[in-house]
Amino acid sequence: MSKLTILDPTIAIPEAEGVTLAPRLPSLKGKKIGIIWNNKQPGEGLLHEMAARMVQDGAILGPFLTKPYLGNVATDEILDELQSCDAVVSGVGDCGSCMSANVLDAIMMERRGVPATAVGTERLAETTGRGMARFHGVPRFPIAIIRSHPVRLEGVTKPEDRKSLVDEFYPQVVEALTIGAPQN
Amino acid sequence: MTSVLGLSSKQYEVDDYYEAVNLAYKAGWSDGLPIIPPTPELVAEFVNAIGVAPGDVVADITERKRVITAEKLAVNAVMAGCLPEYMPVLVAILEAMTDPRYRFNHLASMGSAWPLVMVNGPITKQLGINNGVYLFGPGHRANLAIARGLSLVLRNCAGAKFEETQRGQWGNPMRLVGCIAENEDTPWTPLHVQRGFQPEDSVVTINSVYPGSPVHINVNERGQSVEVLLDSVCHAMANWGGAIYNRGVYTLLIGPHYIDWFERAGWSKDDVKAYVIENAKTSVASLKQRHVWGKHLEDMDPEELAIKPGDEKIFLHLLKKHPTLEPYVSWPIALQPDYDRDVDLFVFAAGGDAGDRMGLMVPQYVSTNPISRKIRVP
Repeated sequence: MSKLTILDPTIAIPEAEGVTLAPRLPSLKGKKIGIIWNNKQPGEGLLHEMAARMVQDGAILGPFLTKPYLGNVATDEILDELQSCDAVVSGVGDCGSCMSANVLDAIMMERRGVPATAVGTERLAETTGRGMARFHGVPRFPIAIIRSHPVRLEGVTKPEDRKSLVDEFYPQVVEALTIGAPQN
Repeated sequence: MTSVLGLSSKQYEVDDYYEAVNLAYKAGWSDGLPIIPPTPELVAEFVNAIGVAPGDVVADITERKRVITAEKLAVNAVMAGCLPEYMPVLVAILEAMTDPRYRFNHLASMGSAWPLVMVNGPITKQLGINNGVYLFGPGHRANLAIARGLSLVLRNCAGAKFEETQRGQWGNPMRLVGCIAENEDTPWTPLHVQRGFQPEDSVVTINSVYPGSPVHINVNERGQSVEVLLDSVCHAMANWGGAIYNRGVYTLLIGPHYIDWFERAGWSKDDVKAYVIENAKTSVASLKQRHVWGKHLEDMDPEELAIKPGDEKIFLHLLKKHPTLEPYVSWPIALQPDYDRDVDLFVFAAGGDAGDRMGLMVPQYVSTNPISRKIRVP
């Protein structure tokens, strides 16, 4: 048989632009934090608990907005409304499409100049979350990762369970918005 | 690197055909089956089949920042075993998938949804897309190669692989066999005409389905009654899925044997749909037993979850909303007034004439909508 030339069927991933895109905050004190909830429970309670901690740390609460479709990026209306915030958190991703969409929400805010991060469970953060970040040129984008529940959060309904999950991811959210170093 | 054929994909030199097949395996381009080596000559021929330049954009998947050109589609279509004349079908499928109402990124979900591709119009006979016996095959080149061409281009160009942005629990056989045609030689109105196209148009309709589709439903021919046939379908639909009341656009596959029955009874596809909408229903008792009840509500009282006398007489319909009980069975998003998700029944004339059976394609819940696109042949 004679030699053959074949063509590459893939599209090149863009060169990594860095870890994050927008400047980080010195701290949360006095900063207005916006939240995107992906409409999937138990994320609502978790994000409110996180917001309460932020207020304790001196932050000001911005809008708490709910996405209509959990597996897709937030609407332009939501992203535009949050542009006046000093930082944004999108969560809580515990499935393939919603985690990747939470990460995309955060990246879209970063492109608007607002430091952001996403919260989700380990198995999905490290696969579809990370995959989405790679597509957008920020493969090491910091995601706040819940490792105690690596996949689904359904059934996490008691206040003490919520508290312990927020204990786990809140420090990572703060680090992602201030230092911005990747978590893994 | 631009070649004389106007192609820009990176090129690899291999010693022979078998080495090309193995390179695709090693590089992660294959879905597990051997590929046809995509040589520049073949790829150019496939691009010419849609009458555009290699660099022209076929699909822009904005959420994943992926732009698929005619060239990249052609490379993957060659690999899949397509013929050049399948390219217009693949273009139409990708256009449908990037319609905002399809909401592409739901394909990353753990539910393993993947689009069923339903083809209508003259192109089905021109390309030999099977609509009859052994519907999902394997057995017909057009059916499998079109399904696989779509699967490969999304694998290689849009992260639709488990190593990247896809968490499907089971995967989905539709990625290899999910392209079927409708039998338009029956008295029934074909799907594309129902959806507003002309009979002479060739059209693809995509609809994301869960693995396990087609669900195989046995029916009872007692009295040659079409209602008795459909009662079994209604029960299977409304009791599918365990702890989920799965609302979306179902597709009922009916073979020629039963289409004759419906014709004799004077039933159109719309009559079938009206009957199923009314009769695909489940009792509250059953929904509690299945643990659908209150699944999306926080802090439910165990008392509320217990089956009470009378629950067996209260029914919720699969394809229409209950005036008051929706929050107990529905995903919260679906309760919002501007929620954009079709709930419907497609009746598709397809499958063999074995009798005794109908087929059901179960839709992905919550996130997506079926989309139709005209196939443009240059």
